[in-house]
This record gives sequence, C-alpha cells and structure tokens, in this order.
Amino acid sequence: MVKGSELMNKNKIRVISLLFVIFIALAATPQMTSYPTGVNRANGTTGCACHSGGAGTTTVIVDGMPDSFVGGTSYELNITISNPNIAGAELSSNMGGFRLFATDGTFSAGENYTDLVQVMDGGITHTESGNDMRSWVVVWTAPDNEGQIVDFTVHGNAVNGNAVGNIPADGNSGDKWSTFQASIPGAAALGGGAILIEQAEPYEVAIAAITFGIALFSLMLVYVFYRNNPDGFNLNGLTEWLKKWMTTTDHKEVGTLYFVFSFLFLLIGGIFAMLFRLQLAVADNDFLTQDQYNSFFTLHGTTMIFLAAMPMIAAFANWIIPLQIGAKDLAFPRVNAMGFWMLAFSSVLLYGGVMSGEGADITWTMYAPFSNSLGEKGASAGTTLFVAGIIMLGISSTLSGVNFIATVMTMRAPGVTWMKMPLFTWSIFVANAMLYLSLPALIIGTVYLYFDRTIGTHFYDAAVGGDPILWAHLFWYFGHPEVYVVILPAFGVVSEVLSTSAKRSIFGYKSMVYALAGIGVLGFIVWGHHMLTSGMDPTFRLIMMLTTMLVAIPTGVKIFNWLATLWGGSLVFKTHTLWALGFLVTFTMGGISGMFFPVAGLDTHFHDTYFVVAHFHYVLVGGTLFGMFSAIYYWYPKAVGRKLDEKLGLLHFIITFIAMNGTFWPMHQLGIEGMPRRYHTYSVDSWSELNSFITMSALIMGFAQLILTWNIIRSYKYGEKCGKDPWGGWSLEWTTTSPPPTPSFHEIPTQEDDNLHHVESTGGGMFSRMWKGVEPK
Amino acid sequence: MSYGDHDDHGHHGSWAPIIASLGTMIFLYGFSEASMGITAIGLVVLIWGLFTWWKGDLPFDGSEKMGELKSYGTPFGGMNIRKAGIWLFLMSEVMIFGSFFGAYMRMRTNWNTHWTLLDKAQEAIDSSLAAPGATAKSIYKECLSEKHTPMITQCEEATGGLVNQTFWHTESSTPVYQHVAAEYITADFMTLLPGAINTFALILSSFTVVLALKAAKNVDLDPKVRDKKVRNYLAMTLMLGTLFLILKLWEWNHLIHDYDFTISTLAGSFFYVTTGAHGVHVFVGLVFLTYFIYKAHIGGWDHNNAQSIEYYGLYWHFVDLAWVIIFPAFYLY
Repeated sequence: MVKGSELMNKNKIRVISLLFVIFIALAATPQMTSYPTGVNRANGTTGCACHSGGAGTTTVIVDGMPDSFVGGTSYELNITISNPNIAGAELSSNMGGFRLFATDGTFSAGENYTDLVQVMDGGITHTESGNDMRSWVVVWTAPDNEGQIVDFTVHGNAVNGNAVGNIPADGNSGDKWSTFQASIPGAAALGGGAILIEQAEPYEVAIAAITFGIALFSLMLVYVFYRNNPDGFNLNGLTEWLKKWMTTTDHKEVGTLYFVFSFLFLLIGGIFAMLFRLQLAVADNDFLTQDQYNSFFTLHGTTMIFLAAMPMIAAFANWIIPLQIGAKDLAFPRVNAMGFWMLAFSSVLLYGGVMSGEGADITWTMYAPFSNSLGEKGASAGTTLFVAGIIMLGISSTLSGVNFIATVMTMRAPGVTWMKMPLFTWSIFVANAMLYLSLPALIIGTVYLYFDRTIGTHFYDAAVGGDPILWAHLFWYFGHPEVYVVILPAFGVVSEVLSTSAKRSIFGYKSMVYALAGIGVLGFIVWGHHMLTSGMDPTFRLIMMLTTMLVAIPTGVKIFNWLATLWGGSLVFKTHTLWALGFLVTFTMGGISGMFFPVAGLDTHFHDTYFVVAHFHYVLVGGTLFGMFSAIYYWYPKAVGRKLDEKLGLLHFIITFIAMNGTFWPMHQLGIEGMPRRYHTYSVDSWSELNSFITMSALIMGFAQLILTWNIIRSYKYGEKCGKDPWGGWSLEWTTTSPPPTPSFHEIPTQEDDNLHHVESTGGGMFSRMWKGVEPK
Repeated sequence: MSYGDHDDHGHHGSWAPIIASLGTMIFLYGFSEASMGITAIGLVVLIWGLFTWWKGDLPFDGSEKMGELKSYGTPFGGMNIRKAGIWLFLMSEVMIFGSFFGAYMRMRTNWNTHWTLLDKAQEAIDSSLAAPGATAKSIYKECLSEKHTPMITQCEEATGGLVNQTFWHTESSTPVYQHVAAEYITADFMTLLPGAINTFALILSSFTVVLALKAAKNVDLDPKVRDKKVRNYLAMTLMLGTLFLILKLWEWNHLIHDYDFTISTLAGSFFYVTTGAHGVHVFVGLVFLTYFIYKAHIGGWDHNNAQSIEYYGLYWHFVDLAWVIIFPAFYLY
C-alpha cells in the first residue's frame, strides 16, 4: 500500500509538472510573435537619454517615405510631432525633439536645416538650436542593396519647455514622447517572395505557433482524459490513451476526431465573425484595423467552409456511412486517417500568419491579382502559408473522397442496392464525387498561386501577360461544386430526420435520388455565375445564366418531396425534427434569394454587396449548419449511447433560429441599398441602425452555441440512456448497438424494406399506404 | 456474407498517417519560408511516414496474403476493393492533368481575349474601317496565325488601324505573345532529342512493368527464377524512369541556359510547372518502385499478391499516357 501511494504521488508530481510546463509555455507564447510592439529600448536610451519624461499620447508623423526605395536615391523625409496637450514654451524655445534610426542607408540634414539637425551614432537627431520646433526635414540616402527591407524607428518628444530657466532635473517633467516605426522594402525585395518573407522571421513564428497550439491542445486533452476516467488518471494511461487516438484507423474514432476538430473550429470561426460584427456595428468604427478586419473575415470564411463545415460532414460520413451500408469499416482505413491528419495539420499553416500579425487577407476566394502580389501593397506575408494550407486541404479532401466513393461503391451489404440506399449515404456519395472531381482544379489553381508567390512564376501576373481571370475560372470550377458539397449532406440528413420523425418512408425516394444526381451533374456547369461581372465572353455569360437557373428544378423537387413527406406522416417533434423543419424554412429562403444572381443584369447590381452575404449565409447557416445540428441531435445517441437533453436542445433551437434570421435577413436590405461586402467600415449613417441590430443578433447567435457545447459535454456523462433505435429509424445504423462495436458489424446485416419497417412499427401513415400500396400487417 | 477472417482481427493502429501529414506540413512550411533546411526536414519526415506505412506490410511472411477485401454489388462486384480505389484515384489524376491542360490551352489559344478581338473586328466593319466584304471571322483569322501568334501588322491593316500595336500589349508594354517552349525545341534537333527519347523510354517502361506482373503471376516458374525475373523487370522500369528524369533535367538546363527560357515568362511558367508536375509523378512512381524491387529481391512477390504490381502498373501507365499528351502539346505544338 505504501508503495502504491508513493507511485500515486510520483504520478501526481509528473502531471503537475506537465501542467506547469504547459502554463509557462502559454504565458511565454505572446513574447514570441515576430513583431515587437514596445518601444525599442536600445535606441530609446541613446536617443532619448535626456528626455525621460515618459511615453505618452504624442503623435509622430513622417511624410515622404517611399513605398519602396531605389538604391542610392535620396529621399526627403518630413518629421512632424504634435501633442495638443503640451503647448511648449512661450518664447517658442524648447518645443520638441526627435531621434531617427534606420537599419541601413545614410542620413543628412535637409535643405535649410543644416544647423537644426545633426547625424549622431548612425541615426539623426535635432541640435541644441533644433529643439525650438516640432517639424524637421532630413534626407535619407538609400543603400545600394535593394534586396532588403529597411526598418525605421522615430522617437518624437513633445516638450513643454519648463527646462528653460529651471534646473535641468525638472526639465523632463510633463514631456511626453512616443515612437513611430515603418519598414521600406527595396525595389528588388518586391520581386521575389523569398526575401520579403524574412520579415516575418519564420523560426520565431513557427515556434510561437507550435508552442501555443501544442500547449492549448495538450491542456484540453489532459482534461478530457481526466474526465473520462478520474480514477485511472496517470501519465502511463495518458500516453496510451493519446497513442490510441493518434494511431487510430477505426472509422468511428476518426469520425470523433473529425467532429471534435470541426466543432472547435466552428467556435473559432464564430469568434472571428463576432469580432468583425462588432467592428461593423456602427458607421466609421475603428474597433479593428483594416488589416485585422481583412485577415479576420478571410479566416472566418476559410475556417467555416474548410475547417468547420467539411470536417463536420466528414465526421458524420465517417461515423454513419459504414453503419448505414452495413460495412465493417471504410474501404481504406489508413488513407482515411491520413485524410484527417492532413486536415488537422493544414490548420496550422492556415493560421500561421496570424501569429505574426500578418494573417492572410485574400478572402476565402483568394482572388488574383491581389493574392499573388507581393510587397507592401500586396497581400500580407502570411498569405504564402495560407495558400500552402489550402494545398494541404486539397490533399486531405482527395484522400477522404477516394475513400468514401470506394466504400459506397464496393462495400454495400445485401439489400442495400443503389435504389434502396439511405438518402444520407446517397448525399455523401454525390457530394464526394463532386468534390473529388472538382478539387483538382483548386489544387492546380493554388499550386500556380503558390509558385507565383514563392518561385517567381507569373501565371496570374497581368503585367507580363498572365491571366488573373484564369484563377477565377479554376477557383470557381471547384468553388461552385464545393457549395453543393457542403449543402448536399445536409439534404441527406434532413431526408433521414424527416422520414424518421414523420414515421414513414421518404416521399418520392427515386426522384430524391435523381434530384441529388441532377444537382451533382449541373453543379459542374454553373461556375461562371460567380464571374458575371469579370468581363468574360458574353456568350459564356448567357450559358452560365441558363444552367444556373436549371439548378432550381432538382432543388425544388427535393423541397416539395420533404413537404409531402410531412403531409403523409404523423410527425414527432424531437429537437432534430425542429432543426430539420427550420432548415426547410431558411434554406428555401436562401434558395430563392439565390435565384437573383444568375440574372446577369441583376447580378451587376448585387455583386459584392451584402445581398450576396445574406444569400449564402441563409444557405450555409440556415442550410448546412442547421442540417448538421439536426444530425448532431439525431446521431449523438448512436455514437454515445445517451440522448442529448431535449430541453436544452429546444432552447438552443429557438434562440439560434430567431437570432439567425435577425442576423442575416436585414443584410438583404443593406445589400439592395448598396452596402459593399469585404469593407472594414462604412460612412453611411443610415446603415448603422440595421447593422447594430445585425451585430446584436450575431452575438446572441454566437453565444447560443455555448448551450449546444454544454449539452454535448453534459449529456456525455448524464444524458438519458437509450437503446439501439431511440427514434424509430429504419436504416442499418439503428440495427447495431449504441455505441457500435469494433468492427462495427460482426455479421454483415441485410437491409429490409423501409416501408415494411415503418408499417410494422407504427401501423403506417395513410399516405404511406396510399402511395406505396403497402398493406399494414 | 463475410469478408473472411482477415478483417475480424480488429483494427491495427498506424503511426504512418500522422507522421506523413506532419512531414507534409513541415515541408510546405519550409518551402513557403524559402528555408531549404526546414523543407528537407519535412521531406525526411514525410518519407519516414511512408516507410512506416510500408513497414506494416513487412515481413512478407504470408500474413498479408490472407486475401484482399472483395467488392460487393454493382458496379465493381467481385473486383478487389483496392483496384476500384486505384481507378478512382486515377480519375482524380485525370482531372489534375485536365486542369493543367485547360489552363495551358486557354493561354495558347487566346481564349480569354478572342471575343474582344471579334468585338473590335465588328467595330471596324461597322465604322467602315475594314475592307469591304470582310467579316469579323475573316479579320480574326488575319489577326492570328495558325499557332495563334498575333500578326500585328496584318491585323492593323485588316481593321483599318483599330487593332494596333497597343492592343497586343499589356500595361507595362510587355508583348502579350511570348515565345513558347515548342519554338525552341522544334528549332533544333538536339533539343528535341531528349524529349523524343523520353517518350519511348516511358512507353517501354510501361511494357516492362507488365512483364514483371506476368512473371510474378506465373505459377509454373521456380520461385527463385520468378523472383529474379520480377526483380530484373522492375529494375529495368526503374532505370528507364531514371533515364527519363535525367534527360528531362538536362533538357531544362539546356532551355534555361542556351535559350534563356525561364519560368519568369508566362509560357515558361506553364511549361516548367506542367512538365515538372509530370516529373514529380514519375519520381513518386520511382520511389514506390524502389520499395517493390526490394520486396522482389527478398522474394516477396508471388501469384497471391502480384495484383499490387498491377495496381502500380495502372498508375505507371497513366503517367505514361499523360506524357503522350503533354509531349505533342508542349514540345511540338
């Protein structure tokens, strides 16, 4: 016993020291970002040694700095300091001083300023007689090496003049100084990305990002492990447990990894959204800088599409597809695991730039010619890493795509024929087929972009004959199928949920399948409607306009089929049913607002306004996200063996549904009035009212997701226990235990007819008998 | 229905996915930051992941021969699932090279600007600047040669000066039209030669892979003879593939140094990135082939598992086929 307790103590010490290291790492991380934000003290002590009045609100402005310098050229710089609170001495003596440093180049006094400024210790400063003013002109001669970036530091001191006539010791009281910093790249540094990127100091950025990520993640993992089994909490158990998750190839465990990952990034993406909604709440706001705004909405878009929506779909696909088709696992388990890890590591690259304040600012569409431009006026340095991350995402989706398509094509159990396959499986199959065939265009597009940014190709550089519109074609050839890739699985979920909740088979199963496949085919020939204003061939514009409108037909078929399913069934209102019904409302509205864009004339007005934002958020939040929420409530019992709390679920649904409409509905109005998207602020005061309302709704919607988070965590331990089939579902995933064993089936099951199932369990709805001709038993 | 005993052992965890993914991330990070060191580390980690993957198949004691998963139902009923997987993978590869190709043809045919030229031609007709009887299409044909080279002087005449020098130039007055690789390559037999040899080398290597497969599947052969045959045919494939890469690098070197044809032009960007991507596919094939040869050397192949050579062969044939399309489009056209 004594030995046992000693062991326990040792383990405690180990874990506590581990946590200690993690906290230290967390605390140290902010120091590792590559841009120091404080005043450079080394310069400060030499430059402002006799002016230690203290840092303050003094403004330092330097005019005449070029965007990039040419070697050997002289530039005239006007340095002005101002501080309305410090007037300066009466006799206009002793008003201020400055100290200017540059990492290269030489200084000299400006014309008429030879007696007023002096070169000192590699920089330049005012002379004794030069401190009677607050504005100086100096000349900076650029160095010959154009391949570098020169950093400037200016300390400016606003002096109140109380040193005149007093003893020097009092001289600094009431003076306030501050610092201005700038960087000017050489002309050659603009040409090649390699040189410019040094600015971000890759090693420091990498260490910061990796430390931060690992520390935060380890903390979370240790906590989850502790919660799982508080008694078996020791280091050996922890490493074994971690190893299990890091090496797992089981479809259910990989699905769980996908789910946790996507949920985490759903919350992160939501935080970005709330931050820039605060910025947009009122006109002329300056809560975020332009650069922050640009990088935040870029990461919001990319996070939500690639790191939240698609992984969440992959999570359910991983969990449910093998169960629904009666397979023991996916076709290629190791490839499947690799798909997840590629995704997980790509997020590090996507977020790489944020740690250095140089986050990608190229929007999720990454339009050339901005995204391939380098230098001061180009996209920020983190963009290169971001593009690399997108390439990795492409690899990840290709790997998971081949897996799902192969699984559905080759591993269906007896009875699960193509025309009896559950609609969720059909939707995942069509979505993955679309993703799989369109993704190469994105990969090639981003590889071109990546090479433009790194090794000096000129695919998108119009200055040498490159073609920025090529990017738009390659991106949207992927991008439009992509929006169906994220919406089709939601269709599948809603089909499953509605038919189970209505206690009948889905209405018009065959037409549902053909509609899915039809969308799958049409999705490839509509991409041009994103580019109607890009100046492409008018004939092509017409074709794309017509094909886009065609998409409404299969989508309409699906909506009417869902309505007919409700009509013929006896509906049970569970939380997942509510989400599916909410989906029907909001998705239909989103679909209708979408029909404005293919009309080239209308699109010219609506292009890049908030009307577009309203449309695609109605489709992506009201469609995809609502569908995924429905799936969470529907399949959580299957994965965990306990139901989610229905009361919390109802609360979550009501708040989110109202707040979602409150957030995105007013955007239609703003868009029609012409409010442009992707601008960090606006000056039209009449837009403030609606925008404030949107911001409030967005915050409510964001915080409402904490209810779901709490519900998921709480129900894991305390939820109501449930058996194989808590909702009365028909497909094969409900024939195995909750949670299912590994491998998921010991004996391959045989799927029965869905109508027979529902007739047996409920006695069958009137329409079920009428349309299918099945007699109740 | 049952898949046999193989699958009932439960799941074997594998470190390979996470290691290979980490390697990919480090590789891309290093490349982005132009740091050769980090890039190399990433590549090493990536290859470590790959070897971890292959190590799962070792030690060739027969445990991997217990049978592959078979497909069930339409459309691949009875086929090995891995074979369906490789065909699906090739579908993605077709789209990859399709994208390279589409982008290249767009550049070569002025597809992005041809309608503006037609527009200008119509304008010239409407304002009677063009010769009487000319149509927009006939003017268009006069403006571009068969190889889509702008005929600047003829075009200016045909449109009565409406489409002049400036139409063909971008803002910084760089000519829109740039010399493409084919012009240099076809100009000189010695430049064309490596490409021509490469074409035959790849086709021949596709044949030797099939011979290796045939030898591995031959149950009548003495195991020792069979192993030697398989190894030699695979080694022949490796040599031909290596020859391809060496000649390609020599040819790039020649184009860059003797003709000053670099990636900093638009045509050069397309040429080097597309042929380079194909070269990477060949290189990846060679990495796999090295492992296959090692496996043949220690007697790992027989008729039970020879289908792996077949799947590899499908990939290799595809790489070959892609070259058969790239060669005329980039070297001759």
